[in-house]
Amino acid sequence: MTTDNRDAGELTLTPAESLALIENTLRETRRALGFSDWLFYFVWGVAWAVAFTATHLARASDSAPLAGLSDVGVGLLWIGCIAAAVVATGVVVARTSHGMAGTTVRIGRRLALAWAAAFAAAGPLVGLLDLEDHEIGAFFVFVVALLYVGQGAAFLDDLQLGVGVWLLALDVVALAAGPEWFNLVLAVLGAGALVTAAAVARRTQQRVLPSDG
Amino acid sequence: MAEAPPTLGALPELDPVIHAQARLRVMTTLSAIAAGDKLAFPRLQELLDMTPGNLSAHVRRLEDAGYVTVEKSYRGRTPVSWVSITRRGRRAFEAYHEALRAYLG
Repeated sequence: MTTDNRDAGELTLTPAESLALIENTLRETRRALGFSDWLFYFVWGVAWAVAFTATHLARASDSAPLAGLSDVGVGLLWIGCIAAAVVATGVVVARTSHGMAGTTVRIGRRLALAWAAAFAAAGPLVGLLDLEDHEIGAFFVFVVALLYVGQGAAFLDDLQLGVGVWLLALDVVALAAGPEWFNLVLAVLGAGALVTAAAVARRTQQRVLPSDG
Repeated sequence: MAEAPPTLGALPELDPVIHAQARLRVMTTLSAIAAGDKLAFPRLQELLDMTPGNLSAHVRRLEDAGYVTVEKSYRGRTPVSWVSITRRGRRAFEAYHEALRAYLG
């Protein structure tokens, strides 16, 4: 039974009520402020699936279903997928971190800077290296994989580390498979790994934040 | 025959600063964010669904006890108050939480 000591604000609770209040408040706060890792994996998994699948259908052979798609068309498709994923990522970050400051926000800003710097440098590099289309793809996947490995190691995040190591290995396999198969391998096993990681992250989050009732 | 309820030991001495519903919610919310992080007053208010006056009074009481700090800064020309839990506050909250768990088994 609750006891009203002075006014509504000073309402004191029984030990059981206090414990229940702590557990509910913790759950609600973590739900409101916690980053939903699974959304990042899912959004990027879908972007990779669409872009790599379309590229495969456009470039696998002269008789491929989208063989008529021009280089500009493929490029625009990639820009559209990446832009959509970046916007979705930004919305999730903005929603969870608004009204928050300190270490986590500073780390987040530096991570965003690291990704932006890596891709800003990768663009001119692939131009200077004069690579084939699938080699350009492999170069970018390599950059993504290294960033995942670095973040996973720094934050003791085994899922992120595992995804990074998987993408590194897959990049080698896809490149070795040749230009006809490169995009399909990444569409299935690369995007598939990201969507699987989303499912694992979602399940972990649900274990930490069980639904009410 | 109905089972007898479990016998609880003596009620532990609970920190009176934390052991009030509103302040317990404030402390729990602030304990859920990582060390080194802070919440803007309006965001804390939104999370707790409390009026500014009520939240302000409880935050002041917690600040007087050394459990939270309030930093004032400006975002452009708008003043912003940032609330964070202190190390002492986190220890007090953990001790309070642990005492409840131990008592209730």
